[in-house]
Amino acid sequence: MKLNIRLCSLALSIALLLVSCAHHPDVPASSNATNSLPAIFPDYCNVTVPYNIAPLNFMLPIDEYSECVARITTPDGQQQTYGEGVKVQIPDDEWHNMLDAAKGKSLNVEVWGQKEDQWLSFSPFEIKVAEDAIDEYVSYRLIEPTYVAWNYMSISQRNITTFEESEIFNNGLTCNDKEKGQCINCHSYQNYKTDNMLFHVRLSNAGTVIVNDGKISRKNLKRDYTISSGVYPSWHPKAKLIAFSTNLTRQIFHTLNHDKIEVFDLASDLILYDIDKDSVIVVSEDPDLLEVYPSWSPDGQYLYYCKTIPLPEEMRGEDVDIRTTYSKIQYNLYRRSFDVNSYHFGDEELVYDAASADRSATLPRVSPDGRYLLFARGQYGCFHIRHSDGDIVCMPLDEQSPTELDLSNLNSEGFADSYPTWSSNGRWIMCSSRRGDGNYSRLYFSYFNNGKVEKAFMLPQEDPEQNTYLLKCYNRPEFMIEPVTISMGDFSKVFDK
Amino acid sequence: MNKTLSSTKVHGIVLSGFLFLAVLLFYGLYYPHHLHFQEQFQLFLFDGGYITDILVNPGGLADLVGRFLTQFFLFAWVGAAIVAILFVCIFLLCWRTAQAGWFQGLSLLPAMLVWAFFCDENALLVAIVALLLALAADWGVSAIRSKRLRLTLRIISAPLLYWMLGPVGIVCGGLGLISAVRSREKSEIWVALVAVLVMALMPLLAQSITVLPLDGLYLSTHYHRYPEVFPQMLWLAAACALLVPLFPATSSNRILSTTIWVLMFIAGGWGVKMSYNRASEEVMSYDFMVRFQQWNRIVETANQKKPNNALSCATLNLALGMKGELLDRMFDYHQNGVAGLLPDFQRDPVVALFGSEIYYHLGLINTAQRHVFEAQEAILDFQKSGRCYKRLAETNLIVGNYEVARKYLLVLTKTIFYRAWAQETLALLYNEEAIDRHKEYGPLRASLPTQDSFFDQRQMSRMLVGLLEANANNRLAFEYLQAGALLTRSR
Repeated sequence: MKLNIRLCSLALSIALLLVSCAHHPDVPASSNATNSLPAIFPDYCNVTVPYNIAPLNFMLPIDEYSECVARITTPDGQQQTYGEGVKVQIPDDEWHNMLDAAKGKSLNVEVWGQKEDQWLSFSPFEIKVAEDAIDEYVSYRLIEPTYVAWNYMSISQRNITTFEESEIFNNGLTCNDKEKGQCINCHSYQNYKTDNMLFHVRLSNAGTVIVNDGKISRKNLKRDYTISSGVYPSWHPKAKLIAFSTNLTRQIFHTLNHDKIEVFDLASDLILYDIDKDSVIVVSEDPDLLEVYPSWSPDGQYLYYCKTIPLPEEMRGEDVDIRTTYSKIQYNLYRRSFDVNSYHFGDEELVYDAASADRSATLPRVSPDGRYLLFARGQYGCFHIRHSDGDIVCMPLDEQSPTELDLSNLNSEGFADSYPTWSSNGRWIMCSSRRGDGNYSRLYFSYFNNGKVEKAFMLPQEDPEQNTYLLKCYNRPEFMIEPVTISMGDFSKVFDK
Repeated sequence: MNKTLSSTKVHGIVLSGFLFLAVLLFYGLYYPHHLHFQEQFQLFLFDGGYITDILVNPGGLADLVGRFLTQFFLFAWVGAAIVAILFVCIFLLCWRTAQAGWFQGLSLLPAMLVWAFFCDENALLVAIVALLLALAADWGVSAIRSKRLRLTLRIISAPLLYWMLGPVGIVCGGLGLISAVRSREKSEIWVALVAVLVMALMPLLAQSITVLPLDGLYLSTHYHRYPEVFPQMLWLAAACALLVPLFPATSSNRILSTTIWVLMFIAGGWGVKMSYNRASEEVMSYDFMVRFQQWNRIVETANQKKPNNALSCATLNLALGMKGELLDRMFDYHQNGVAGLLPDFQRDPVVALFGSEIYYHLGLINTAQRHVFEAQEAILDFQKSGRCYKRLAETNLIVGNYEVARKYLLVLTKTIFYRAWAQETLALLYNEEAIDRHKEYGPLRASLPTQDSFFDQRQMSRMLVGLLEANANNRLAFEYLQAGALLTRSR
């Protein structure tokens, strides 16, 4: 019996060892120099990464190359090679050891690729390792790039220091009317923590699921005096208050434009929801203008939001077709001061006049130190992830005439970049971008250091090819410093059977 | 009463052969498009992640086998043969449990009920595979001579069968209990009872692990495309499979036996007839023909029996348009107004697919892409579709979204029947000349509108004019524009 146990243990150990062994190939004895950077996917050449990020696994194009070898050198001269087929997949522990050794410095990466039986060598590149950590978790909705109908979707969370991903909730659990369907969206957290969080559920078994100090409830935020239930949320950083927009949203579809879909609001206002009192206060409800995307400053003293400018006289009125006016709808950024004791809002202040530059600004986010403002910008409208000209903009808040920072290392050319957000230490910017193929959005991160933005890198995956095969978009990414620990079963208890 | 071995075998072969032929001819000749319908709303991938995602859920093995077999429904006769084999196996496995005598004929009932179940286009092959494997599992366990091994397997297999087959796996436990009671051995009875109890409680355990709704875990783990539908015919078949061995053995009486066999065929046949949906088969036939661009066949079919269903009419109009005969012949057939040219969009996979075909051939590629995307998203059991991915790849290729097209093509390379086409089409990416020269994609690319606009069902004439302005050779757009005017005036 004892011998059997020992033999089994030995067999198991050998099996685990074989499975965990990385492939450390030899560097090709001879190769032709290309004098160019390798066309690796994802592009991790000369990026800056946090010292706690998961391995930056990459690959050479599978239809051009048959093998890839990468040699990584740490600042202290340690070297290791990786490569199996065209993929470079680095074990967690080896990678994190290299990052520890390179903190504040760089890893040097050399790549060889075999093409038609010939080895090619590429120009080496660096992976700079910042001394600043990144929040360990991000959450996002995984959804097809849908039009009206939608399939399975989930709100998922990912530990970005590893490859672990799990679902927070999905639309298969509590949908009790499959023909009606169920949409889940707008997950949001207070101060990057998950003891206070929310997400919306629309259509079947609808409501807003709110976690308040760990207690789950499902609320209907629609009131007689509001145009809809709460939509885009923003938690007050200190109080049990959530600002929402309320929206009547529509879509129309292009017959030729690659952007395919226009999303617009027929009406939108701002409300403030008091969680403890379950009360809804209207913040602003201009009948002629659209207010949307509330976002609190980190000290909770200001509410930032977007609001349209008035349309030309001839474009106003109920008879005017939105199809003729949608490209004229442009949003500026505003803010109002807020007194958390009296719930009183101050007068509106213009923060960024996008319209005078013939632009539209949306999704404002103030940096955790209160010094910078991130937002998305396009030529018009409020849904820039659907506009190929959508870009991220960052400007200082503490200047009289602020100059936009250079975000060319973050933005892509000709593809939609949107939904920017800050990490809790204000050192990393995350955005959702369709730069890969114009349709399926992926997450990108950029190091932000004293106004300078480094080259963005894609969220790493264990299998780099997953980024190609995954037919879902990463939607509404949010940083968290801890995971959501409430189980799907517990969430589902607040729904009707 | 002992069965005579050779006559039993002969009976078995004859009855099996008769059932096989009946099912084969039914699905091959009268109901082939229901099989095509099943195939087009799923996509079996030879991919580890895809397979694992199915197997980890309750009923996973049956689901995987069911989906694997369904891909062959692309070819109706192959599909018909697969279905016939499954039904015959269910019959034979029930027959083995029947006592000798007049009541043997009842063993045909489960197969006939399953046949009636499968007349519903949303009943999935998974359910039939699950029932078959449950019956086969009982056969396998019962055949074990060693009592200790047999009883051990009964217990171990209980939770495994639930996880592999779903709730219908309880049929194995039920049959085990029946034969245990018949044996009158206490240990057999207790073990069988425990096995049934374990199976009955497994859904509760499954819910705590998977958090899936409990009613689905008890009644239908992907047995039907509509998750909230209770597959009553399937459960009736399962109940009958449990009842069959309960009927006592009787003396041999050929007349009575034959009468019951015939009655079961008639009763089963009546059940199939009541479940058979001729109207939807007709719509599906048009859908199949438009999918494979069989324009002449569509018109010939309409000449034999004029369609009066909106979708069939729209398909016929498309076929006439593709043959350049729409204006000459459209009033030879029933017309459904403008909706018979361009059906209104509905969040329904069937309607959206029909619309997609029409817009595709007109040259409104963005609109065709939207319709086919919506069709796939509207599939209620969250499956993907080979047909939809193919059209998505094509539309993205035509408008130059090559990387998006590549994604869909790479998925299709993981299939048996779409792989070759996907690999050929991958070679077209970024090859502008080859696309322009392509006999289908080239003309469609040339027919793309030159001015962007917003799709508006109420302003089709404006959009059709736009297509003609982009390409005066777009004969179909011309015919649709004129047909629309005629239909509007004729009201």
